[in-house]
Amino acid sequence: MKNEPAKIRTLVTVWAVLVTLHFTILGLSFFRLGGFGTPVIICLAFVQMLLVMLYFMELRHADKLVRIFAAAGFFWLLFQLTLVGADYFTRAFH
Amino acid sequence: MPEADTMVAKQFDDADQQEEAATLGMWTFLATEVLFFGALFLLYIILRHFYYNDFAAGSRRTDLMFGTINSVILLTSSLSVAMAVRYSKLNQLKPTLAGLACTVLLALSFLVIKGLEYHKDISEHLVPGPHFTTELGLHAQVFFWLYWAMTSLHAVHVIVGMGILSVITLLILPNGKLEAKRTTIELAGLYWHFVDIVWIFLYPLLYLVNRHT
Repeated sequence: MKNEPAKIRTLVTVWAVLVTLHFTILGLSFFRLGGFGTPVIICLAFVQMLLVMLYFMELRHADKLVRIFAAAGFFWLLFQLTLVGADYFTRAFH
Repeated sequence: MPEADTMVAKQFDDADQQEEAATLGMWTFLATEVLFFGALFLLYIILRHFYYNDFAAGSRRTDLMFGTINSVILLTSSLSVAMAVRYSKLNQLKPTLAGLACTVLLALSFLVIKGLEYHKDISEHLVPGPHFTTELGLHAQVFFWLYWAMTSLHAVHVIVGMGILSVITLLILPNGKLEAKRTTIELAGLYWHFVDIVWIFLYPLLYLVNRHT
């Protein structure tokens, strides 16, 4: 399974979705979405990242250990963002 | 002894185990890269929280056309390298080389466009320092410091990735032996996709802040 080559149709479809999402993000940035604008755009960028990781980087066929290693960097980053962010966004600076 | 077996280092039982170890090693390296860029993204989030208006004004001064074209180039280069990996698994030399060459050309296009964009930014005095444009608020310099730091570090990664892919292409070309370089192509592909992922987040955060105003 792991060494099975990806299908051309799958790769091209994923690329088409990635480009569509890219222009969706660009289009959304010109709309006044209030507080939702940035979270929606970042969520779409997240979807793009997951598509690249699962299909182009072939994580969907990878061993469990490889998947754990792939998630580890993002897991530690989440700790970094949460702990530092919790301080900066709650401290009274002024 | 089959040729593929002679390429297995002695500490591994077989080619599959060697490939698994190499892939795991690459993902470990990529985890360190996530944290490397992550620190800059963290800095961006905090500073944008404090200086949102200046970040928005700074972002509107970035060149949306250059950024958008470069995004499509990088997304397409991810497809071409994924195609190269696919054909290397099928042991088809010509389409593998075509995929790799296409990726290198797209990487080069990205760098040329980035260079043109940098030239425009410099001529518009968007480099933080004593000659920074007076049209923007003081903290827009913070935004542009991050813009230059993040995009130039990303560009260094593009140059490294392009170099690796070029070397692999040149190593395969003379003898036409694809089998020995299959894992190397896969690992270089993983690195290249990571470079793409970083840009996926840089694009909205640097080019698209408050564009609707």
